Amino acid sequence: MNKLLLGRYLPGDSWLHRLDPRTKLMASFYYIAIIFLANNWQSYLMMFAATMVMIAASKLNLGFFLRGVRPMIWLILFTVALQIFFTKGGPVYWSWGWLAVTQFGLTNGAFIFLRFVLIIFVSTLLTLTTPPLALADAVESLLRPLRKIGVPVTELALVLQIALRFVPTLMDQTTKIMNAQRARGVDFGTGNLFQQMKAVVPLLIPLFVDSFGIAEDLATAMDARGYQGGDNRTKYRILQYHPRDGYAGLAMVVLTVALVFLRA
Amino acid sequence: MLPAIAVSHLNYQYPDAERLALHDVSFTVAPGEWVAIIGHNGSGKSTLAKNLNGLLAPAAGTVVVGGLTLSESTVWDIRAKVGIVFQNPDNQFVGATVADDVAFGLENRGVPREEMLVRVADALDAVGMRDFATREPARLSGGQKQRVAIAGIIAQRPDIIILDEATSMLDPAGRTEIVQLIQRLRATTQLTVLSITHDIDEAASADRVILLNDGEIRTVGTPAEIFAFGPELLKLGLDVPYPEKLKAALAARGVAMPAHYLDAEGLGDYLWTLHSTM
Repeated sequence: MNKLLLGRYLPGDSWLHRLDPRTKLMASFYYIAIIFLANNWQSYLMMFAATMVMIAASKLNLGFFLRGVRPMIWLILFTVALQIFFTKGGPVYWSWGWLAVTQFGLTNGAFIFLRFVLIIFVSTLLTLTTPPLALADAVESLLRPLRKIGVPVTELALVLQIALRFVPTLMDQTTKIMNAQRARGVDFGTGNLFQQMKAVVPLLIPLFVDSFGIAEDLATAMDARGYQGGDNRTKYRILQYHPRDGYAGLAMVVLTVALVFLRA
Repeated sequence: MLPAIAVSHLNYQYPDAERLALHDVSFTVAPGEWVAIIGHNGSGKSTLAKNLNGLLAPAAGTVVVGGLTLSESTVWDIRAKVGIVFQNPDNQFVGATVADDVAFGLENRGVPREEMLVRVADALDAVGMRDFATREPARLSGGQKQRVAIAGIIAQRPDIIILDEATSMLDPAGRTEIVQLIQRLRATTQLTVLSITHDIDEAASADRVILLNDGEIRTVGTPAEIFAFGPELLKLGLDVPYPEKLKAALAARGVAMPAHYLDAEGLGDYLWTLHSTM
């Protein structure tokens, strides 16, 4: 169950691990955006090489990244197939009725495939090298200007932090309830779809009730420890930019310039 | 000397409840004293704790903490003086890591970061959890989580710490761990401790015991005086520690017994030296 998107952080001490989470978050978004600028073999090849360099810099096994692609593979193949069959242009290699495989179709299919894989690789890289809590801090820090227009950024960040904090607690609770219900004869994971959905009900209801109990306890504890909300709170965890964050930004600029030159 | 806590004629009634949860409760706690409040489930122990720092508002009567009378305008000052460790180790852990959780109360009070770093480290040292500073709560035992909760409170440097059944969800080892930690903290600081418990062994460590029954104070006395009630405690839904039962049985058979509380080991030592002629 801990294969869910939140538990994917892999602790490490690489250059990428040590980058400020704000840098990583912004650079990832930027990188994904410029992938869409690539439109020929040269530019895609360069983006592919750049992604491989980043993965190497994370010192993580390539297998983790390939596993990230797996859940998306049918969507990717479907999109690629659409591109191959419906893009017209260039020499025709095969045709059947209104379907035709053309040279343009094949190249476009390959480009789309690469684009998908690169986007998945980069976002996987972000979540594998950044603890969820650091990401939450980064979001808070980057959104802070929105406080001026009345968005409760600090409160939202605390909500996010507490949500992350309680993921393992609720997982434990789920396991406990599942075992308790199994002992009472509930059968999880067998039967047809309808039966399986029915088996989830005696799991979800106690979990729902429990989480309200937890929320109430937590609110009391926070109250007792003087939580009053607002912007007068100080912060224990702070984020600090280092020279390496500057280098990362510079690398993005260089990459963009190279991409503009290479693209058709 | 000003009492640490002075409660007089306190009444409390839960909304929609027919009966008063607390009725005419009065007592004082001296600074540095360890007072245990015992009573059966639903006797009003935890309600009392929540009335002491304004988590619940008394219906009648006054609560004075360190000279401040509890009211809407003093409630945050009083909460700074009174820390509560609650029953469930998981449901009071706010921070994502041990250090973050200890810092939570300090963040709430706007303590500057430089000072926070020092106070968090000191508090973790005091409870012996320094090596766990970057751990996540999911990787701690119940006893360790309660130690972190205590660290979070002592980092705020309160005068009073209330243990609201803080050991009831722990295994015996965790329970001993917490009781010993409190004893150690009291040896080094001027901390006033109020422990709300139905664990009679925890109550035995206190200076004084307040016995609560159906929202009213039944008796106040030293642990030995309270345990001397013997069978009557059973009627109130409480149990007497095993060595105390043995003591009472032996005293009934004419064996001379000391008046103070002895744990199993202490009683063993006392018994085997009783007829020693050496």
